[in-house]
Amino acid sequence: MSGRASLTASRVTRKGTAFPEKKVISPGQYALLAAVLISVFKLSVLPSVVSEYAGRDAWMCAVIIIASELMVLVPISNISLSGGVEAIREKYGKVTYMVVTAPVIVVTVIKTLIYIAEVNSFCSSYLFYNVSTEKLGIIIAVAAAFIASTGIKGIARSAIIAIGTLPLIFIIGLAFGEPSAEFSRLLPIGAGGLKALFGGVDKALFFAFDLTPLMFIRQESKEKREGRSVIFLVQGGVFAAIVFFFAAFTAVFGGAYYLSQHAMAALGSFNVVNTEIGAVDWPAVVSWLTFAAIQIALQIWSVGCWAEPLFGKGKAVSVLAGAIAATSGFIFQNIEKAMIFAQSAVKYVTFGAVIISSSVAALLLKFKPKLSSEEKIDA
Amino acid sequence: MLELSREERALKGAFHNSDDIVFREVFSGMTRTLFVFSDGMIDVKDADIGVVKPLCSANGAFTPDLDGLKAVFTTVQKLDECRSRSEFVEKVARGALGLVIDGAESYFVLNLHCYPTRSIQEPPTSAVVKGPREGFTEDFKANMVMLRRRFGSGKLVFKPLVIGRVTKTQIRICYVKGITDMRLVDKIVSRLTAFEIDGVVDSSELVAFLEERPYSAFKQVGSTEKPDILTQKLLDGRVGIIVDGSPMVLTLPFMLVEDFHDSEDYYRRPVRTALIRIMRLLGVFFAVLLPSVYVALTSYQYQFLPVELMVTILNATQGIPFSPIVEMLIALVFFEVLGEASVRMPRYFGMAISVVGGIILGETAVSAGVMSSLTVLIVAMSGIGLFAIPDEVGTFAVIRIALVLVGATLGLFGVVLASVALIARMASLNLNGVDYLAPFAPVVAGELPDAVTKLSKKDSFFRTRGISKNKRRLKYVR
Amino acid sequence: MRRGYKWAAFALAFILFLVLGGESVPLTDRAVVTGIGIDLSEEGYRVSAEIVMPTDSESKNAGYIIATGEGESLSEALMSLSVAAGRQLSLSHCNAVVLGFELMRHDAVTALDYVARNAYLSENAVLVGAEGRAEEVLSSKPAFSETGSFFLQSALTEYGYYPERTGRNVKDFLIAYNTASKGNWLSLTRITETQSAENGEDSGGSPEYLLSFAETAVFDGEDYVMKLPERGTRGINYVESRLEEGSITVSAEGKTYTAFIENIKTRKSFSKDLTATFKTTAKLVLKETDGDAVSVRPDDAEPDAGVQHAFSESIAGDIRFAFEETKQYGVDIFGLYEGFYAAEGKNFKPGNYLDGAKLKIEVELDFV
Repeated sequence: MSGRASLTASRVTRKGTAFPEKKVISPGQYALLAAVLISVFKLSVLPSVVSEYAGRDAWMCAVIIIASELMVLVPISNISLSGGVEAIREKYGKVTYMVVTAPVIVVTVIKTLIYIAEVNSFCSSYLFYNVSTEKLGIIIAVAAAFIASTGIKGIARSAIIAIGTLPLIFIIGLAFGEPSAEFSRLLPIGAGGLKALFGGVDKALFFAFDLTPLMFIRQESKEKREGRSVIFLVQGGVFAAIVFFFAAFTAVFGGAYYLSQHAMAALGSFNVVNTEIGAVDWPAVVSWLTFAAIQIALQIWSVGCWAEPLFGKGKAVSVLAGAIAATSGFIFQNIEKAMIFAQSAVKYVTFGAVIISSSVAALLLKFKPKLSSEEKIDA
Repeated sequence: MLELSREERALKGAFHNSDDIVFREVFSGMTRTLFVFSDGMIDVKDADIGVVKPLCSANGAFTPDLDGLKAVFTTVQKLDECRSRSEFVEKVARGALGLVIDGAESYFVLNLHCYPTRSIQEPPTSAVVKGPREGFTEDFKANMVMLRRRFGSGKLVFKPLVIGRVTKTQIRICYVKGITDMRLVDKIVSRLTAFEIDGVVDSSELVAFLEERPYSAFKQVGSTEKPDILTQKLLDGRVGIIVDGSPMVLTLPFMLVEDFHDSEDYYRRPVRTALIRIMRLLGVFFAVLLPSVYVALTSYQYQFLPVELMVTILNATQGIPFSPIVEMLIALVFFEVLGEASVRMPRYFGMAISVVGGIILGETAVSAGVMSSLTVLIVAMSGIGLFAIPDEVGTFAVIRIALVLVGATLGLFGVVLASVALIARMASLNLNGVDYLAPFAPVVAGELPDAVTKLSKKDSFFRTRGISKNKRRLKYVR
Repeated sequence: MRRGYKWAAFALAFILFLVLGGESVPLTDRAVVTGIGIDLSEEGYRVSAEIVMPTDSESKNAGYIIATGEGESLSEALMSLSVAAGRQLSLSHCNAVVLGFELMRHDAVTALDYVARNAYLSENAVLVGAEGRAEEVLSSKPAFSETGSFFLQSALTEYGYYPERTGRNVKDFLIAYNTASKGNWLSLTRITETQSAENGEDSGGSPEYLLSFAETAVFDGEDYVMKLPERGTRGINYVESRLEEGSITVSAEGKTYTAFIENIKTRKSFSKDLTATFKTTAKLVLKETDGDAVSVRPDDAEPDAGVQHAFSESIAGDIRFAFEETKQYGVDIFGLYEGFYAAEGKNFKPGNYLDGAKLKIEVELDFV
């Protein structure tokens, strides 16, 4: 199928083979959501965790993890360009759809619980002193479920608006802060050896491969090549930024990685005591919270999206997913418990589920049966 | 065939013997005629000279049909025939001079409207230093004339509708042929003809029928009181809805960014307009967020306050019996009530009330220790910021209070989450085929410069995306 | 979903937002701490907290009190303070942490555990040592500031970096502690009374003080080792800070020359033969000479070679002084270990690297 798949595609004659328009976004928005999914929860506790094992080579762990994640983005973006996983249901039926996507959804739900625990931990230690994690978990889940109910367009567009907070971090930080980093702390490269390197990668495994919600989105683009080029260009920039971030973390903290409970807030303070405008880490805090809410919303939305072709009530399932997510504070009362769970064997399960499901889905769509003339969508 | 006495009785019954409807019998030779009109709605002099005298002079020597009467009333511009009594009654009620001729087959109405209307003035909501100062009035015909004058090509089309069983309010849907998407026009017509109602007094009553979400806090139908602004919008592909009796003309489709653009923006230099538009955006941003952020920071996240400001807050709020949230709510409610009072007060009292309320009461409240000077300052700044976008004051005032409540219970964290949820909601709205937050989200690169700053007319090549199929508005021939 | 359900869901969400929030304690109901001093006591720790007190609603100044509490741990001592004050302490604006001398000699790093766990404190609090008791430093009413902690913060971080004093925050101290070099230092604060107070003249109330930061406490890991005099402080700051204020005075050719510092920074490089090279670039502005006759000539901006050499030697000498003095106690004050390890990688054998290390100092002057 070539040519532009139109936003206003007319419904095909065969029942159940229409492409729902509401899950279509532009390549730019798709790339932005991919960037959010890749970066947000790697910039909080992960640098500290990885530094504990990999030491000054933490940035190399980031290179390996992000590169692996970008490789998984290849089949996922192909899935999106071919109509999303819903096309699997249309071509192969519900059973195949369930088999391929159910592991992804389970992984998404588990990750949502852990990520909400991470947000809880940050908020309860840094922003509040008297709000329990249970309550915070409910609040985040409610907000994320509401954002999810606005649909993929609402989520993608709020991410576009949220980008405006990023330049603010640098404008305020560089104007009022006193960045101080010794990049010589990164030397010598590879000092820890392969054991430390892969130890760090192993610790980061759970927090990688978050791109599965993109499988439920259909990307609108004239040519597949154009769509892919935008996505990977943006992710290339994100890749460089995250690696630099990890390097900067080591350059700033050296061996005292434990001082940072939240890397983005810590680095976002730009090494400065209270200035004439107060603390300068608030843009970083606001920015991270915003994107964290968007990512959790996207994950909840993907659960609803998965359920819609099966049960027909996508929004209700999203709300149910939000309710499940709200239990995070009850399950993981602090970040330590969440990290113990994330570092257990479940990380290998999530890694395996994502790799296998995305690969199988991409293959199924690549070799899908040819469409009859009735099923071709009008451009 | 009409029998005059019977018709007179029937018409008096149709008008329920209303005192302002005048029945005047005139003889033209042996032919009896009856004039029916609403007292004060016709030009009596014109009627006497142009209608009654020629009729009497004709001495019955005319055929009681349209052509015959046109030959008699040579100076009357518009003469219509009504086949039914109800149509005749409607037109007389709207200000026409009705004529019943004994023995005729139909009724006749003459267009001699001369009812009192407000003169064309500068609208109070859109005062400008530079640019046209005409404003719409309550007379829809005058409004149509003001608009027609601006379209010399004849491509401006007025589509008539009548709404209201009792009021029979005249509606005109205006659009530009070749620019406006006819599907939008059809959609509007179908919405406005889908209901029956007693009457419509103002255009704002129609808004509920045009909006897709009538209970939403977000405005979904645009409006303007200025013909030049309406012209700009029509040229962009929008549709205007003129309602008789209302100076406010509705426009569809609506995008939020429209309310951030003032009428004078079109006539100022781009650099100056750019600065003002950016100030407006910042003004609204601070207006909506400042009270909630203040409450959040003084209740939970103190660490974000500068030390000096923290000391100032401590000093300013000592002895205040209320918590920051209660203080802020009192101040906000007080400010809203003051705003309402100053609008409704007679003009002569309005200034005094503003001074008393704004300055003296605020000062006294601070001296009495009911609220801190910082709270008063923040509420005042927020209120002023809101009025940078007067058309969205209602929406943003509601959002502001909701955010204050959230900030009071959840601090900065709650304000951030609520803001993201709000933005997601607004961004997901697609009304009449146009995205509500365009060109910010989705990003429309070509329109962003004009949304945030101002593009020179020289560079405004395209119309707003998604509104008109005819995208190009400017083309250079040399 | 029907509209009614949507509105019900939205209302429920909004109510949850309002109900599940914390109970706010406004700023006015908290005891806002702007600085803490930690001393050793019989019980364990004695913490002095400088708490801001509101004054007049028209005033922009703050009053303050010094409250003290004791406990086996720092957090217990702070809790006893809260109990005594009747209000919960807020450390949101605690920008200064002062360690008493006895504490520094015995237990500095352990005492900082509570501080390190507090995300805000570890990033944003200036850390200084006191020559005596931390409580005295906090209690002193500085001549140029409202409170001791405000003065510490502004003197050490806001108003420029002088060779005789630079600020370190808690994060800097703990990062240095976690390096392989283990060399660490803190500004030592000494209180001196002002002239008028000393002479008993009426100073309008309590005596006013000046705080001096000329000396530096040196640590080897968590162990206090020695005190460096002003010369050593200057030497450390030439290397480890980016100086933008202060002056250097030298004698040469029978005259005294004073140059203001526009900028001094040092770049370190390390080679495999245990040679550490410090390249110090200094932008100076010649401001004053003290000679027999006053004559200001246009070309005086750039003094002659002999004078320049004197300035170079002064800078290099201070650096070498700091290095040698601390080396005597086995302290690698300039982080040579890290540098040699970075240069050699796995081939670096620590051994007695410090004894064998050679320090080469190259000073490049630029008179503007």
